Amino acid sequence: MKVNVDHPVYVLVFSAVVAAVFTGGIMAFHASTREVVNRNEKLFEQRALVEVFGLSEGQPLTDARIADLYAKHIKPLDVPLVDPESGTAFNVRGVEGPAVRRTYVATRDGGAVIGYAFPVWGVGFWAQISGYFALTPDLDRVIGIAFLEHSETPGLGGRIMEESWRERFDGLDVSPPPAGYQFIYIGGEPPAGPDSPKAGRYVDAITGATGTSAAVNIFLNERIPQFRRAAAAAGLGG
Amino acid sequence: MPEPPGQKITAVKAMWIQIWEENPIFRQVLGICSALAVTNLVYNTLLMCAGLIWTTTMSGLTVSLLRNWIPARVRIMVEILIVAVFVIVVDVVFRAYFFEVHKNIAAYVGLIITNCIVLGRLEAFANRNKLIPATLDGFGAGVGYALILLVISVIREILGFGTLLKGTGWEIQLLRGWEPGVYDTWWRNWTLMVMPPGAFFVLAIVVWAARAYSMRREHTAEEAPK
Repeated sequence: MKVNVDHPVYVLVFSAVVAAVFTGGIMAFHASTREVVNRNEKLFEQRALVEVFGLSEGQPLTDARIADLYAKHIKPLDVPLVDPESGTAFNVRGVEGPAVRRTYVATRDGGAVIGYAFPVWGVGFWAQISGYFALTPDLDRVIGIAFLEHSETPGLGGRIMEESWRERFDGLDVSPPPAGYQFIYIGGEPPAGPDSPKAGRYVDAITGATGTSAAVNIFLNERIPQFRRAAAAAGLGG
Repeated sequence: MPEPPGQKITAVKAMWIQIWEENPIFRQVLGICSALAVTNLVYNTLLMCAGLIWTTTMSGLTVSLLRNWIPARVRIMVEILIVAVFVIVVDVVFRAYFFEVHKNIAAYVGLIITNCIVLGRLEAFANRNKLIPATLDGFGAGVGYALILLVISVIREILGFGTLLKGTGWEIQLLRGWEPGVYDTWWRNWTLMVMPPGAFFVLAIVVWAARAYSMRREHTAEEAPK
């Protein structure tokens, strides 16, 4: 039987069938991999948290080790954290989802608190950058920084993911700075000497990625005081 | 470039035409948006090319299979739907099995849908040719694209980072770039090569070189005694 492929009814039926078959197929394929994708996303976030608290101790992080370290040492904080000045929330309880901001606490085997990791986010050179920033229990020193999401130029701004750059934050002073100074400096003039208000708060910019470094500098100096105020309001820290 | 109606070519010839004689990048200058975007690292380029080869091959095959049933007035819509499905497959596979890779090139993978090479081959060849030639034509277009992109990415990565295969686990440090207080060497990594504008220069030089070589070959063949 010869089918008239230009008949309006045929065109309508064909379009509907093709759309249903192909979109149905891709939905089924997507559903069949959803569990693996969710596991990957969870593991990616757990790896960032293990790294930001410095729990890897220089050892390679296998998937099993990440899950083990996370289960033993890290848990979400159970207190609401909202900056009373800006209203920025750092810990939202009772809601789950990838976009929900959570703050985590890490503890040693005996239960002593290692520190707190709070979400940091802001506009990078190209698009949104987000990650975690971990501070000591008194909230005055940096334990580490890790990024989850960015669209920076691979090899330039994308180097924010590299451990060699992130480890430069370890131990930095983030106590309240003197008036007119920032909590942290990324790039720009290095401190003139040990007595400079910048001393102990300075990290070199990424070579060739001044824009990304400046963007991270801006949003960290926005989030750190916001988190400190939120933590003070919740009774955390020193 | 549409083949003249009625012209008969073998499946292998159809593939070779796309790889070299009518190469999508240096002959047709199609799909260069991604050629500029992903070629600062060989690793990203390899993955993007794998995604494109898969998409051109599978969409060529599918459109050829359905060519007698697709109504002319909705053919572009159907073709785009088919292309989108195969691109989403690439994205889902990366998400599920190459998660780190997905984090790096997710933005570019989605753009394969709008890559002119894919729709161009479906319109010019697959929707009027049999299964095997159409599949090999799509495969050839993908491989032709990949060959030129790999050349561009090797040049950009060496000049921009001093490395080859950075990010793969088989990284080779060819030139150690100067970094203040870290490495004091004569070589300065060429930041422009890592940024999109660097791709314009390298793409233009590679297209010029490939065209010059191709034209010289054709000229020599024409002058050869029959």
